[in-house]
Amino acid sequence: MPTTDKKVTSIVTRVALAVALAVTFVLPLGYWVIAYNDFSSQLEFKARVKATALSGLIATLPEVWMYAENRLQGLLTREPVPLDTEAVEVYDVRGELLAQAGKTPLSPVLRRSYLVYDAARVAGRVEVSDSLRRIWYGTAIAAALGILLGGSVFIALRTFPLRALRRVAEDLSANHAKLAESSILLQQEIRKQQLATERAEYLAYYDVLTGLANRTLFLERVAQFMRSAAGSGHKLALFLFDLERFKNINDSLGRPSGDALLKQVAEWLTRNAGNANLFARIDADHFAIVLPEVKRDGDVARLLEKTLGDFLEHPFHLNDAVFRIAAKVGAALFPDDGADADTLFRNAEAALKKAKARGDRYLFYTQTMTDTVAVTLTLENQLRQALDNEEFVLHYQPKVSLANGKLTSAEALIRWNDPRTGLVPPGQFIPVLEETGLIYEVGRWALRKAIEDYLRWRAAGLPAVRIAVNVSPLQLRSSGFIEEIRQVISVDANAPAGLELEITESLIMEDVKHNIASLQAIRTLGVVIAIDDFGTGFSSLAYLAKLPVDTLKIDRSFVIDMTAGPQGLALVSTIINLAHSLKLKVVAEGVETEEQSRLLRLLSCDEMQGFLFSKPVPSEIFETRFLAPLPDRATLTQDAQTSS
Amino acid sequence: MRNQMAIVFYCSRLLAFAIASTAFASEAAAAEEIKIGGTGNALGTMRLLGAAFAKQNPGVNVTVLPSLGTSGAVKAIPKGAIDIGVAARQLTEEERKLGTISLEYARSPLVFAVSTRTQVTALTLDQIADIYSGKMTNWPDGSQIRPVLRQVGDDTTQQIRHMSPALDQAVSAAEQRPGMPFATTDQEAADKTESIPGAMGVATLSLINSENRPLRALTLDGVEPTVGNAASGKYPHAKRFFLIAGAAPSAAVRRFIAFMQSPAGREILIRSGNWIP
Repeated sequence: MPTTDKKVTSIVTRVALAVALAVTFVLPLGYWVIAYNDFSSQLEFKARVKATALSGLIATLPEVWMYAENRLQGLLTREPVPLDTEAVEVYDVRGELLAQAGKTPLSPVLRRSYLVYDAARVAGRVEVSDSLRRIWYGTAIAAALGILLGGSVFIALRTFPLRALRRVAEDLSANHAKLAESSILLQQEIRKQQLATERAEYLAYYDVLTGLANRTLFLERVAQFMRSAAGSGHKLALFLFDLERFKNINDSLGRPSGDALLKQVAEWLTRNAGNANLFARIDADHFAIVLPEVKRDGDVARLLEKTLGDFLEHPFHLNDAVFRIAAKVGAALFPDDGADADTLFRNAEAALKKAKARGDRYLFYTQTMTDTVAVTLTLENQLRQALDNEEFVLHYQPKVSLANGKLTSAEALIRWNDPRTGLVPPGQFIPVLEETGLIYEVGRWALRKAIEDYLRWRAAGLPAVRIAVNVSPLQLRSSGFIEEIRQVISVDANAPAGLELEITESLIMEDVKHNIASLQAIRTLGVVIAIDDFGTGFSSLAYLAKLPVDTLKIDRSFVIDMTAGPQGLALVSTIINLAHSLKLKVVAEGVETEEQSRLLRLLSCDEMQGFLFSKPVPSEIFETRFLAPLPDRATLTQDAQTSS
Repeated sequence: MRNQMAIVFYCSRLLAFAIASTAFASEAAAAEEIKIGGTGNALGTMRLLGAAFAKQNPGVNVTVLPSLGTSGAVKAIPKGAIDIGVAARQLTEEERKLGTISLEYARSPLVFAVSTRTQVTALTLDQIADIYSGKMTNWPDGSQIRPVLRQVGDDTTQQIRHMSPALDQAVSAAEQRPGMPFATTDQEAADKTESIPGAMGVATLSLINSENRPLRALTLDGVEPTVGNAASGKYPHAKRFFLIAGAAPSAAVRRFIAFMQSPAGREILIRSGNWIP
């Protein structure tokens, strides 16, 4: 607006100035031109009149008229009209002044002459002159008036249009102001409505007391998590959390205290889980929790155990008193217990109801799940005890040279000798060890135990062979793993020669760059490394060449497929050739038949391991069967063959 | 009047006869011309003299020009534009230096005149002043008084201004009055005084008499403007007439001058309302 205003002001000012200047100059100029012309023609007319008057005299005195000064004067002065302000002069044809009349006019002077005739003959001329001063004065007055008028015009032309424009602009800005005001009111109204809508939305989705999601929002989120879980193929758990004796607290301490407790519970849950999106308050003393990603059933059990335990121990402060609150939980798993959020929620409710009725701390909707959880927890306890009671044992499976059938090394395989049930296969407890983190301790124990056996054999003068120990993912990822190995082998200078680490291909490939560094560090300790289960982990050939390993173990599945058709054989052949070209030793796992053995020998596989030669055996049997002097060993070999 | 004219005519024939009888004997009869011009008041008399002279001198053509005024005559003489000039005043020193000679030959009462049809015979100077100033606008019979004015520098105007201070002022006032009859020559003034009803002008007795004008010279302040009254000084206003000529006037001119001073000439002058000082 100010820019436009200035522009308009400038234009109007210029136009006004132009018109004003025109008026200022035109007025005196116009006056001058008109007055001058008028004056000039007046003088000319007077000259003509005087000349005509003189003609009469000349006619009567053609030869001496020029001497009749008195008569000339009389004519000039009064004939036919008296002189006004002008002066008149009469000249003869030679230009000599004959007579003059009137006062000499003040300069500047305007002269006009007219010829005097004696019939057709020019006898002289009359010259009339008058002062231009009157015209000058008139022009000056006109100029003054012009300036006045021009000034007035300028003021009028500049002031009035600008005033009108300004009035219009003011009206406009007033309207603008009104509009702006209306706009603000409207925005305020919209904001109110938005707030109301937000409030309504909030109330529709959140619990006012705790700020947690309500049932509606919770179910929406659960539905989202379910889609994501279905996409990635993992499980999802939904828990309903019921505070015990809440009604008593509410009744005895009053509702405000009950509300305060609910707030504290919500805060506790949020604080301990770290993500409020996973929680909801369903009604009175019911909370819901979703665990979006359940990889193992045991995780659920452990979480429940821990959470319920911690919750019970947490001191809630109400009215200066400390309360400890127990809770019951109903759980449902997706996809096992429902394909949609509503069903899952209902089933969790059913589980909760059942738990309350039976007095259980928590219940899963399906009994089997409850049972599995129970078993898992029991197993976990038992495994802890097994570690303490040294119930774990190492069995050794020999690896033999395909070229000459001689023992080359052994793989240590962990077994749990449960005093109640006997030997438990590793598939039943290794996952639990990994889930609980017991694998660290058990793994460390296995390493120590293998070294111990090796050193013992060695000490006993037996032909001690290198023992391969499997490394679990948790162990490899642990930052202290290399240090742990160093400690284990530090017991004896010969210890490194007795140890080989088997690491699965898929584990190495999880973080191949980091693992290459780790493996190199391990090798510098004198420990050799084998890639276990080769062919299942999608190795990058580019990395394979760089891996600091010594041995490649072909997964048993390839060995099995090898005899099924030419493709399987070709695969194994390729793996062997690849390994050899990388200067790696090749061990075939799970060799169970003579045919497999023959084929592997044909393909120049270095060693084999499997039931064809021997199943994993306790160390004392391994010792007597494979490390003892030759006569015994032959027998044992035979025994192994029959048992596989 | 006719008797007067007849007497003049007779006398002039006698004079002419007397002069011619002596002049013809010595002078050649070659045609000569005398051009006379000047103040209007004297021109009528000059024509009478010229006519009388011409009768005596048949070989001389005497032309009396219409009025040139005194100044015209004074200017024309040195240029040789006229042979004899008549002036109503004496020459100035400068005019004399040009070689012009002058000779006062007659005087005539200066008069205020009205048409003979106007029933007025006498006025006082004060009345005349009132007439010029516009205070007195009507004759006793109720008719409008119309004073005839002359140009400012005219010698007659100058002369009446000197008659009284009141008249001086009155003339100045009259010059500013619109619608006043105006005349540039003595003859024109006489014409207008004659022809304009109720007009009053200034003239000389010689003009009225010599030209036989139907004008009445008014008695002023109770004194009749006769030649006798004027010559005696009773009537104090008169015009003096001077005859002027170039330094070497022609024989005809000298003769004419001589004729004017002859008894015949003098008689014409006196008869025409002049007296010879």
